Amino acid sequence: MLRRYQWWVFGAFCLVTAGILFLRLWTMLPLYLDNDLRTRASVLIQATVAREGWLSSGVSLKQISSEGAVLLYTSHHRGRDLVQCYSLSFTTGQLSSCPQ
Amino acid sequence: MLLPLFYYRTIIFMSSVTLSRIGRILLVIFLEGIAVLLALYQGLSGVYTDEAKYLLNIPYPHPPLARSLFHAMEFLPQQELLVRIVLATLLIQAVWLVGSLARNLSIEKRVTLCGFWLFSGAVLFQAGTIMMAPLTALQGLLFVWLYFREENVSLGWIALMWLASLFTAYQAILYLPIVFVLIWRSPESFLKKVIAFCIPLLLVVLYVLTNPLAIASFTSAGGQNAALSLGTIAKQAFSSWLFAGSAVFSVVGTVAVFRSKKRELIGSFLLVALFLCVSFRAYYSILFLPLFVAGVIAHSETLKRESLFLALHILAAVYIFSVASLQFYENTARTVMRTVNQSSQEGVVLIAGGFGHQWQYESTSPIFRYRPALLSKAKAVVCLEECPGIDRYAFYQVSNLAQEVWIRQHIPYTTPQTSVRHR
Repeated sequence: MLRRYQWWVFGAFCLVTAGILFLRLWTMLPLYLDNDLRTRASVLIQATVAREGWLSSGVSLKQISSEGAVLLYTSHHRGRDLVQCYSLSFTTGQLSSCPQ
Repeated sequence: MLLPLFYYRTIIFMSSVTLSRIGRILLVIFLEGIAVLLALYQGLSGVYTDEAKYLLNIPYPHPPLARSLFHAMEFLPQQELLVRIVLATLLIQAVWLVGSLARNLSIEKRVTLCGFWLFSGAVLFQAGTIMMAPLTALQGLLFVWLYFREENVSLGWIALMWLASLFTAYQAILYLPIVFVLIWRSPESFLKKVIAFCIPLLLVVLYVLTNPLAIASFTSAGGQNAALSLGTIAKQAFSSWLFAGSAVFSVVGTVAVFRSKKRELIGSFLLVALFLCVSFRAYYSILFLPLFVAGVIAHSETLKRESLFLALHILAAVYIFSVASLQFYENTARTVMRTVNQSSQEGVVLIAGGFGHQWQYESTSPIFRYRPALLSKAKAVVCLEECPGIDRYAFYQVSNLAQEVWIRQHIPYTTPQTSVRHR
């Protein structure tokens, strides 16, 4: 019984994992393809992290383009973590809350 | 001196009788008692930065499998203790797996190998820590167990275990030679073998590519060791290897690995040793243990004078325990945050200076790095270094704490109290 489903279970886990990872990779693709964008994004995100008092480990990238990035900041602590969404403009360096 | 003698006599007594069902149950309970004690000891000083990272599911550097499971228990007030006990239990009760591996050896050798596992420095000091290395070592032991099994194991399940191991911690890759042989000797088709071996590896590479923080962590860990001299690196790796099996098991296990002439075991051993040299952390020493067990199983002739080896091993373990700097006091983060959490004020906690994730774990409020501009949002400020500008806001300093801690006032301040100091 267990032997019969081994490949189905393995396949299902691989497909789900690959799906999630490819979606993330798709989001970050501009960073891998554009060296200039990668440098600008890195400098601006690090400056924002320092200015806002964030911890780098709480920052995740939701979306990125040549104009700017959508960042999620998670404050990890005991209890429900606070997750906030921000848009970061690469032209002005301004950080604003995501539209609801 | 009496303690190792007692243990040795107990083990020899156990070896002289066939364990009845009730005997086994009693032994399980006894081992569980040891596991709980070790977990309680590890919990005395609070959580360390890496432990906090896993408990809070902070997404670096390791993949999410184990840390998301730990985080799923966050709703429990005793999350930390529970995870410690579960991990300690897995590591201590793994001795049954060691016993099962040694089923074809004489009873004396079998008991000696079990004693080797239980009294290894790495097991004694890492049971109850919330780290990925003990979990990876257990997964390594499971691969070793499958490697020595006479019947064929379903390839799909091995592939799934390989995937789970890699998504628990990257260090599972150190057991790659064993996994390769395990997969390759399967009677399944060539294509299935390639899929079982390569797909989990490709997925973990994909995971690294999508996590810039993981890449940054690797670079940072490698960079820290690059600054050390070759002698220091060799000394660190050697002492870690020696500590892993309380010296005796380390020597016996390593000799057995090389005398077995099994390339997959030697390959894994060299990979672990090389990894320790490149990216040294004391807690990685436990990764040697499954290989020592595998070595003894593959070349049991190395265990000629088993009772002497076991007695020496227990003595070495007791010696390590006696010279180790045991910590019985809770860390600063726990003491400070207990006071800060009592404040009924709303707001974030600001920390000035470098700090680890344990501060986040102990806090019930979001933690930010100290910036004077954020003071208006803060309910408390912890100054691990100077906090410029704090005196312009209505905070009072808590006395009797090892760190400088400021808490926002509840009511407009009037007269100083004895327990607080004002700037």
